[in-house]
Amino acid sequence: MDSNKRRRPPAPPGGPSKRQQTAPNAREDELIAEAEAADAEAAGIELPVDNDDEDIRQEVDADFELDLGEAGRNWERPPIPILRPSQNSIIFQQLETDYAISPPNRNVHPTELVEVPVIRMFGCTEQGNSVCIFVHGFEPYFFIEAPPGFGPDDCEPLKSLLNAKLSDLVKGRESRLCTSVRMEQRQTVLHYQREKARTFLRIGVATPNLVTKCRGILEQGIALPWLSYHQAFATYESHVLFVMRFMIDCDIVGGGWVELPAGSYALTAHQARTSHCQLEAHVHYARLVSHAPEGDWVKVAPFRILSVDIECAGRKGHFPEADKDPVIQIASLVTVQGQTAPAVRNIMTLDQCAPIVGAEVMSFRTEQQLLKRWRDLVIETDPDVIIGYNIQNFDLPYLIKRAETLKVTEFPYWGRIQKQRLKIRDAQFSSKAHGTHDYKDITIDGRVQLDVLTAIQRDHKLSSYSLNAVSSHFLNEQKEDVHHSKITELQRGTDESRRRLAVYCLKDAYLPQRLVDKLMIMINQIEMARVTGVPMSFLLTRGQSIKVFCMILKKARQRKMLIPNIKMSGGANPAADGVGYEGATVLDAKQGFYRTPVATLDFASLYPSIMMAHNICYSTLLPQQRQREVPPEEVLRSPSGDMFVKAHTSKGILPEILEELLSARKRAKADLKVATDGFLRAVLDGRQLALKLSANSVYGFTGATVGKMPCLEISASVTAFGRQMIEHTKKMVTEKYNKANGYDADCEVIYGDTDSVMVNFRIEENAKAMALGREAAEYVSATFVKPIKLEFEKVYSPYLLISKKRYAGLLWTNPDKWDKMDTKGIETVRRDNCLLVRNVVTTSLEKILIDKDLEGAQAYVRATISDLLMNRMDLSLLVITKGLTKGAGPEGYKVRAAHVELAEKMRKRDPATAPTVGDRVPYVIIKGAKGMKAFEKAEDPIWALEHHLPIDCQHYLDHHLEKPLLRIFDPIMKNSRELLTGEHTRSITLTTPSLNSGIMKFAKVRLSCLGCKSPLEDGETSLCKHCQGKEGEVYLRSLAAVDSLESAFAQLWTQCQRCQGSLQQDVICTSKDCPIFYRRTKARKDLNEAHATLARFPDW
Amino acid sequence: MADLMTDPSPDAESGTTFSRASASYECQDDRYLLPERTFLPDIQYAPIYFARMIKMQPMLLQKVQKAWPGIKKAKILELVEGEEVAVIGTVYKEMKMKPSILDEYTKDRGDHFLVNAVLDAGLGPQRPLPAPGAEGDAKYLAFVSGLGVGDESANPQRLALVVDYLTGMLGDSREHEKLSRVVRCIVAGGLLRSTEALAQPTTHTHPRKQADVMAPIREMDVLLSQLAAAMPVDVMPGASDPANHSLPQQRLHHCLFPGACSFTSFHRVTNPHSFKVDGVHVLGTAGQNVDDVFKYSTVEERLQILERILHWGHLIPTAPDTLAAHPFPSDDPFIVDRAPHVLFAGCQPEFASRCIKGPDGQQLLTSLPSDHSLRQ
Repeated sequence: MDSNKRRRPPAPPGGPSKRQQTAPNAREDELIAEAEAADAEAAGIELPVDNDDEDIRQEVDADFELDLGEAGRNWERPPIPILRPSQNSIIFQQLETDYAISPPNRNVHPTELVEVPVIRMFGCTEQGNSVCIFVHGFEPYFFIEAPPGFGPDDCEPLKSLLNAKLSDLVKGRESRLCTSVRMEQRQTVLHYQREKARTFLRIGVATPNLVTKCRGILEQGIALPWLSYHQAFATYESHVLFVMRFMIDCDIVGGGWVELPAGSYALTAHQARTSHCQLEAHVHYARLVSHAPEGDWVKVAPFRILSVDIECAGRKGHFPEADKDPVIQIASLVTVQGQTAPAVRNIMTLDQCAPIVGAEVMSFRTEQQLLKRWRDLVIETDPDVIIGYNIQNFDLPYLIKRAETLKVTEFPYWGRIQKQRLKIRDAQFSSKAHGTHDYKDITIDGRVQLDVLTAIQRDHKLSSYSLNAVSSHFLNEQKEDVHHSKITELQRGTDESRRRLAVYCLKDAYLPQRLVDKLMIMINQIEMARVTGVPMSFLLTRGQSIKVFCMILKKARQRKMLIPNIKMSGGANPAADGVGYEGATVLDAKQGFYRTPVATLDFASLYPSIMMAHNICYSTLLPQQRQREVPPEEVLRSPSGDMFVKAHTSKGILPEILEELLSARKRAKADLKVATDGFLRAVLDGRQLALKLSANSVYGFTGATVGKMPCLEISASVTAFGRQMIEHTKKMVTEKYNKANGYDADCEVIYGDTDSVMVNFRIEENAKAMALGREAAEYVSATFVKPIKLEFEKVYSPYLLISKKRYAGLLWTNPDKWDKMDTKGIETVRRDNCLLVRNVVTTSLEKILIDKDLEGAQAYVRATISDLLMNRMDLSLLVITKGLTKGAGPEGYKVRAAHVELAEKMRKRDPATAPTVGDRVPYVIIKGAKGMKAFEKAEDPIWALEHHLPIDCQHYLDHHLEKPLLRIFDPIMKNSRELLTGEHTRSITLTTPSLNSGIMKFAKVRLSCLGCKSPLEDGETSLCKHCQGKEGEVYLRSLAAVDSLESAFAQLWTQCQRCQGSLQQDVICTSKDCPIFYRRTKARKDLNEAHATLARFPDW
Repeated sequence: MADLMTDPSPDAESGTTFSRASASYECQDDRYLLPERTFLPDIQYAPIYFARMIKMQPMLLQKVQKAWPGIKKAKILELVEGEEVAVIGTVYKEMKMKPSILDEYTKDRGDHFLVNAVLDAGLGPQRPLPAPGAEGDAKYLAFVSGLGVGDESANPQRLALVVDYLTGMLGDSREHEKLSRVVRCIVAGGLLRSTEALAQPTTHTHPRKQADVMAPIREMDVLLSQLAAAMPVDVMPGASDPANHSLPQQRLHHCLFPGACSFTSFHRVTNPHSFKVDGVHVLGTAGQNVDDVFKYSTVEERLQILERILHWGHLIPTAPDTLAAHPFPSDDPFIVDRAPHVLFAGCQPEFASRCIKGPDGQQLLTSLPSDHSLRQ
């Protein structure tokens, strides 16, 4: 796809929305499934996978044979060693796990059931062979509380009762739906229970989708005639996904190593394989051996990563659509994890393409051949992970839809299970952190999909996420960017132009792989999966809460506790405003410019440490009504009024999880210090990061109002404790460090955020301030309960505090040299500001903080303002870019925004190059007629450049520069307004009347003398009579202009050639993110003008 | 020079007058003149490289066939593993430290191939050198460069000395006799010390300050007029002269030399400058090409660079990459298709010259006129 990857237009909102917020009411089965979807955890669709099983069966009999063309160089994986099931064991790193309903394998799992859920685990062995393991015998189950007086012999009647109820709900050949009912001793997690265990009933069912159906029946209330007992049951752990249930029960973590001991598995013969993996075996779940990711199991298998990128020839002016526009090139790059050079570099093109050094070029006459051959490539190279940039929303769905329109029915079969069609459906991912966006959920059996765009959007806050901007930010490489309207031109051209497009497409496939290596995305994903136990594919498609939920499930299982599946908003105390609770405190900020060092004391992971210190958890919470049952000395009351049992009576689950996470992180950091081998260091670093993130997300899990286990009492008390501690710290510090106790000056707490306090000791040297800071940290930490710790790391000197959550300062960690300039909430990072604002703000901050020279900063600001108003400012500094998220027109923006109007204007001018939805629109504000509104004055920079449109400098000063500058200079200067007015704001008015309007039509254009601007008679070309004498000086002046412009022109254009990598081909780069894009065009235009004036001096 | 100063010859006033020898002169600078001066709207540097490749290809093809008979010529794209092939292309030197306008720019090139020998275009064919006359009527050309007018630190006396010597005011009759055989004087750039003074915007500077900006130019004009009175003079613009920046630099404008222009013997020429005197083909620049190659390569001796330039067959090899050049739409004028008899480069740190024999009999003098720094 073209370089500035853009999100497809969001799927049309039509069709019955799957999500319904209404509380589930007991209508028939369909509604229960709806309710199931409604309270599906907020971080993503959790459509029960079961209702797809039916269509799996119909697909199987689609008959076609796979004609794998001759494979390219080292497409296949290394050959498999000879394996004797009785002697050798299979050890592999499990990457992807899912399940399918299929007839049981009788010799591995003897059962009389007609159909069972078979779990398929895909992975890669140490030698690099692909493995597919079918695990049999794992029965889906859930729990309900045993009614009073329920004995062992009541199990059978309940089972048959449930069976009867289920069979009239489910028409199927299966007769045994409810397979087992057993009594077990467990305890509920919610609220503190005095007694250790109670009897629960474990209800096993034949297939996972029956769990929700069975739960529906039980929640409506069921009559047990023989016990004369009629009541609705609360179910426990019935909302756990079947795959996660299996992994938790067998202690298998995502990305962990699994071993099938010798003799425990039935190896399938090579020809009889049903999957495309090299090794295939069937095993019973009890025989699996799972290795904890410690010691030498930390290693990563050499799995294969396929990076894909496609190019489509869109019609003029339209975003390429799958049903109309052909796919012309597909680039695929296979790399083996751990090796740097890619194993396969392949480009498949439509029509002939000139050869490319170092890449396999395969040309095809028809698109059908191209698509089929690419499918063979995917099956042949058999990648474990498919990556690419924006492949989830564009590349893969486009290929599938394109195959549909071209009726290439055997195309969408690149999963690892033979004859298994891919499923593609619209899904929605919504979470507070990342907002709501639709995406295409494609299930490719056995292959993990990692869209590098989503991964980067999750972890990094950038101004633009186009592949070009991201690669220049991380890989420090300015990529050539060809506009998609040019792609069609290049495709229709010769072999040579197609070759150029192919190189460009290969580059788009190569960059995601380099981004994955550089940012270690793969390593971090594996480590996160290992720490939280969640399968790899969940990490990207779902949010944070599923990770915490999985950890809680694992810990609860160890402690024999169960998680109830009820809508737990808990008794949110009425004091809080119903939905939310009071947030963290922010001490009032004393605005000012502090020259003396300001020490920052911040808490080490505040919220986790509070939870551990005060033993705050679901299982230690005492609800309102039962608060009197427990003696006062065993209970702790939180500032928000909730009661929690102390640790020695019963240790909570959350504190235990947090302790494990933080101690594991200390271990990982200790190993990191000692580790030497680069790869191991990367793994350990990824692990300690994953541990830190998971610990911090535990608090978020409890506070999520729409989530799996929301419990507002916990989050309210945690923040309440946090507030209390901040106030306490402030009081302690101010009381101790003042003149009375013998310190040089009274210290003052000038600002405090949720987890940090800024103290100004009013001492000159940094070293002394640091010593005091350390001392204060220890002094205050001593007064807190053990795991809570106040740390001192850095000092800000000087420190400019503007307002709450908005400050800038030089950060010192060692007394002799400052580390960096740290800013928060300041315009330097905002992305829709023009470069001018960012430069002015950063430079003035540097002058104020680093050089401590206020007058210098003010002089610089005045000079820049006068440059701006005298129209000497370089155009590229004035370009503002805004994202065009919604189309213009009625359903688009209500208020008429500048960039939307401009997009419309450009569409009328030239639909091909006009920005479409999802693009970033660059524009400058030009001087319009009187009374024109701001949005009418927006103009495309290149257009303004070519048509000499004057820039509206005053607008930039009032709307863009004024607020940030005043904000910075207010604390420093008495009245900062005088920066904006006064002598330096004399402005120059550039009037360029357009030649063809009104009176100008009749005027005759006459040259004006270069020396004194007086109109020249017809004969003369450069100077009037009076200035002839000064010809030398005037000539030199225009010569100087030509001189500087020529050198600028040479530098700019040779640079573009270097960046494009070839000398003989024209530069057609249209990358707007590149800083010299506008300067380049401006330099050429100015040079032309300068030469024209020089030519007016006749030289015989 | 130094000995002359000490003992002026006794018969200075003996009154024997010598008349200046003259020689046919044909200026061949038309390829460097840019008549239309304006740029095509979307002109770039690609055409100049392309033209250079196309024009030099025939020359190179012959050399390749001669050097490795029977070798297959292939385009860079058709490289096949393990097959030895001759490839013709522009050698581009990728240097990390090269100052670039995108300063943080780094790039690694994906595809590699092994180069085991590089062949350059070598010396072009040369017209026969006219038979050298008897020692008596040998004619000389005077090369002068780096006058550095308007340089406060330099002693103005020296400039006057150079001009007087050349115009025959100094020295005894022996000197005069030799001087009278100087046919033409080439000023190879470096007229002004520097042009910063001219460069700032003079629009609102005070008229009085503006006047002294022109002082060095007027002084230069006087000097050149004296020189032009005595002999034909070719004045080439140099790096620090009031001319356009990118090569080929155009002729200095006549309004800068009101006095000198009145002499017919005063010719303003482009840089690079190529001309024929009595059949001897002379080609040279004001030294920017040698300086730039020196800057970007480890070659120590500048004269060797001049030699290499001849073998490369291109007068300004580093243009337009690191040395600004005019983006010619369809031609590359700097290709040296015919080997000149004399190749010079002005404004060099010290004077040096060498005569080399080309493989098929060309013989050639390369010389580096001194720079003003010599005289400090």
